Amino acid sequence: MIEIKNLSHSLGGNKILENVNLEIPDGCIMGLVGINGAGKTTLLRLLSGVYKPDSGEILYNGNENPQNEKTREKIFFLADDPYYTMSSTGDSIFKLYKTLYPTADTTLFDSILNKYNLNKKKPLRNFSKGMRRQVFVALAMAIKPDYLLLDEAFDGLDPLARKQFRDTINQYVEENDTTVIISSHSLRELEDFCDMYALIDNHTVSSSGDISERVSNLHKYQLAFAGEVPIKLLEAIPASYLEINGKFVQIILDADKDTIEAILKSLNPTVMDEMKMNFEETFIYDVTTKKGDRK
Amino acid sequence: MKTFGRYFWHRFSTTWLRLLILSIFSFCFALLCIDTSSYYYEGVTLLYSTYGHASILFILFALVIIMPAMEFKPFTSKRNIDAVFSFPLSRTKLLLAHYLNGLIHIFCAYTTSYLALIYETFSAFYNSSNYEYLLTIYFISLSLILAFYSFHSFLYVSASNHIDGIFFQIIWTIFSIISTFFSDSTLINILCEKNDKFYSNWFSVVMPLEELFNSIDKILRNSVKAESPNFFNSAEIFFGYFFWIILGVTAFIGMFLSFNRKKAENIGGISNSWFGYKVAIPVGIFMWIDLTFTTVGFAWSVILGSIIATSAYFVYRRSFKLPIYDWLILAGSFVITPWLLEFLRDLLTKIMK
Repeated sequence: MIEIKNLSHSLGGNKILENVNLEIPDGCIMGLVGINGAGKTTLLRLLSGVYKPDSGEILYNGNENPQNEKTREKIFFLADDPYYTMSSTGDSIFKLYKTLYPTADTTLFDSILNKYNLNKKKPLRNFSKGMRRQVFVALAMAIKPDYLLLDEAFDGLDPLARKQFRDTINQYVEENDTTVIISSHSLRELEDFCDMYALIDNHTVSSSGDISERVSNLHKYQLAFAGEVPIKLLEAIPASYLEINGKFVQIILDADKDTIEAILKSLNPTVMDEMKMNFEETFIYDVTTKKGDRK
Repeated sequence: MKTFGRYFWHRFSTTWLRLLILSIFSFCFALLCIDTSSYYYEGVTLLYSTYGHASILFILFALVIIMPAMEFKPFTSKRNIDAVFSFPLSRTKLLLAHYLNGLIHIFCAYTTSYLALIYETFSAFYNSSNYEYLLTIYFISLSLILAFYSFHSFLYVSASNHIDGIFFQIIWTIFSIISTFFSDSTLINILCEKNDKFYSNWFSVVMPLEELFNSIDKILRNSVKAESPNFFNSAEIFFGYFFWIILGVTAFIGMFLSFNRKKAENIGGISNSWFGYKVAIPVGIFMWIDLTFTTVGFAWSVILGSIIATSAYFVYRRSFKLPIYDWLILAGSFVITPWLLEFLRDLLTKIMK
């Protein structure tokens, strides 16, 4: 388990994270989400030991600090823009990492590269961004860390590569009980294969937990009224989101479904349809309502 | 330690070609520069070997600046920090692996150039009784080179980015060389007037290897005369030597302390180290005025110095917009320096009486 306790960190005098508390159980795939500049990459850097926190602590397995080199043997951090030199090839990068992670599996690395149809002897500078990312994903899998931290993992991958990546991660987690923390703006991808999420907003983890549970807590309805729209009655409802567009109303409520439907039926709409919410919509709702963008 | 060993071996094995090229180049360069032609002087054949050790010194000078930049560059790039600082290796071991690799490169290149010197001069003037002195000088020089490399490594590691790391090394090297321009420095003139040994001691501090290599000339001349040289008769050599050994040890320790305390988020940004622009610019202003105001006049000294110092601040801040604090330091340095020089001149004059 990873425990984050009262973690705070600033960059260049600007507060990035403040009093972050989070528990990440072993073997889960956690999606780290937030708007640009929220602090996702900063949190990943703190978790991987790149940054030393200003205050608070991060503990792996109860007592291991990522500042300790022994702890970092169990962690692999794949950054948004991974390190390589002009002369680096997949093979040379693997050899470098094998010195640091001696259990890295050469056969697995080669097989994943073959799956992606990549030549490990070819210089990385000649690869596209997506191809380079595939090489580093293969490296991450081959190292078999206990904790895999991925920053903007889907960035640059084509749809087929994304599917292959998701499948690889899922298989990998099943086989190795690895904990994966992945940050991405591609929330649809995260929804498909993450068990949990943590939303970073306003310098802290504003919400976290099971993705499907969070999505199922919110209910979105579209209403149509034949006559006059009862605006005052609608505004009296403690809705999280309300949009009135002529005779049509869109409303999001964070409450029990039966209670919601009873309230809405009492307004006598001509049409009342529940619309399925996805994780992306949930994210937008969570971020915008806290900023008071209620319509 | 096993991970350290593997990582160090990986570093060494991936830079062997560079090691080979530097060693061959150093050997050939020294070989080409050493002139073993002799000439007669008052009936005694003397070895003309001035360019020999100068070429070796030049190679060393270049290597102790270049090698830290080549070895520690991964630690000064913003793009690399995510990988490098998440490696399962402590910062101390990471730095040590790169430091040792650079040291091996320097030692090998220096050794091949020294072998060229031995080969050229002793093939011309053979006297086996003096070989031991050349070996003694070689081993003494290794410890000095270690000190220089540690000092330069410390300066580079103190910086936050690659360019500043190189600049820090160059700036302090230039300062130390300029400080030997005693004829233009009013302070050093006073010290030299009152103390015969001051300048030679100061020179041995700034250029200890020059002093050491001058001994090679003495040894070779004595070889010609078939005499044993009295190598250890110069106190100045010891003064400079021990100064640099102490400085080297301090720099070595300081390098690790500095690197361990460095914030990864500052890498690639402005270098605010006290061992860089922050102190170097005011010190540079002081030296500039001390060395130039008697020759070009105080007004021109200030005008030209201001242009240079302001440019240095632009380089430091990577911007033409300087904070008020920098303008205050700049102006304050020019205001305080003449007063400080006057005060130091009076103080030295009183002390030296």
